[in-house]
Amino acid sequence: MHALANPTRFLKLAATIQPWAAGLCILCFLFGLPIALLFSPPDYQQGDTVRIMYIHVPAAWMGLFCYGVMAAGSASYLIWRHPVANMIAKSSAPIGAMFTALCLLTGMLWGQPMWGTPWVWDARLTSMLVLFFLYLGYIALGGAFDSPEQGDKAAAILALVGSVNLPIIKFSVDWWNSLHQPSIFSMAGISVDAAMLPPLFLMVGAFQLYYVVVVLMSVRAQVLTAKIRAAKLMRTT
Amino acid sequence: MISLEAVIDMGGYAAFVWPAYALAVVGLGVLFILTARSVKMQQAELDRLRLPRSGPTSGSSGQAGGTAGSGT
Repeated sequence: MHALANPTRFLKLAATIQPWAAGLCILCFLFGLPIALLFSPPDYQQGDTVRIMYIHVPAAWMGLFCYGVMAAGSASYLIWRHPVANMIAKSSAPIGAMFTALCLLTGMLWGQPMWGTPWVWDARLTSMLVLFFLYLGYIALGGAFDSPEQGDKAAAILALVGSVNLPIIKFSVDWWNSLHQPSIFSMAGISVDAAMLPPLFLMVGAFQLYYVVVVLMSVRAQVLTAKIRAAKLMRTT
Repeated sequence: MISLEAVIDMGGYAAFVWPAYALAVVGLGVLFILTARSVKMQQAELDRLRLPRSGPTSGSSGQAGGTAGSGT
């Protein structure tokens, strides 16, 4: 953990991981997309709209995952001043926001034909919308201060406070009555057809690996920004 | 055998299924391109700053590049 607090050492490791993650990501998409769109069976009730699930569920998972990483990175930054953890947290925010938006939009596209409405203000949908706004708030707050350190600290605190929303999203379908179906993975087992699992796992894998590729790229950009700031400071003095 | 018409039609739900996949392609694609472009632009900016400046201050700028390059 502490060895990776050095950005240069971290970037060296990232350069090794990145091409593997990118290659595996492309493979997951190459297999996952045709199975999701062509070869998986339509649902006996929902017909072909169930194919939206292969984007919607992985996007929802990634929305929560990115926030988890952001909160953990923020905690490491606040407690141990781990600079790379903070960079990972900051890099995860736009990716998480994109996945959350994708989850909300594909959910609307699925809700319209199945529920007869794209949106209802129920617990699951509303808590997911709150998650999207938390991402936007984190990004905006980080850039709202003259000193980047102050911005990072304020945003990290917001990320930690907002993490209370994660269990609310997860258990919203159990705690409140909802139009939204309960989780397909529960203690009672898996509630979807076995033929739907391979494309679902492949798309989750593809999104997860996409995250690894983009987050590492974004950390690299942040290290460069820090170096530019240092170089400019040296020039003025 | 899967017919092309059936795939395009998506059981009558083409207007919902295809836009969902299109949104995914656009979302993931745009974020990837923006991130890759920011790395490229930052690298170019850093290279430009590290170039020794002409004139009497060139010495200090060379030193600046060296210090920044040692990693922060």
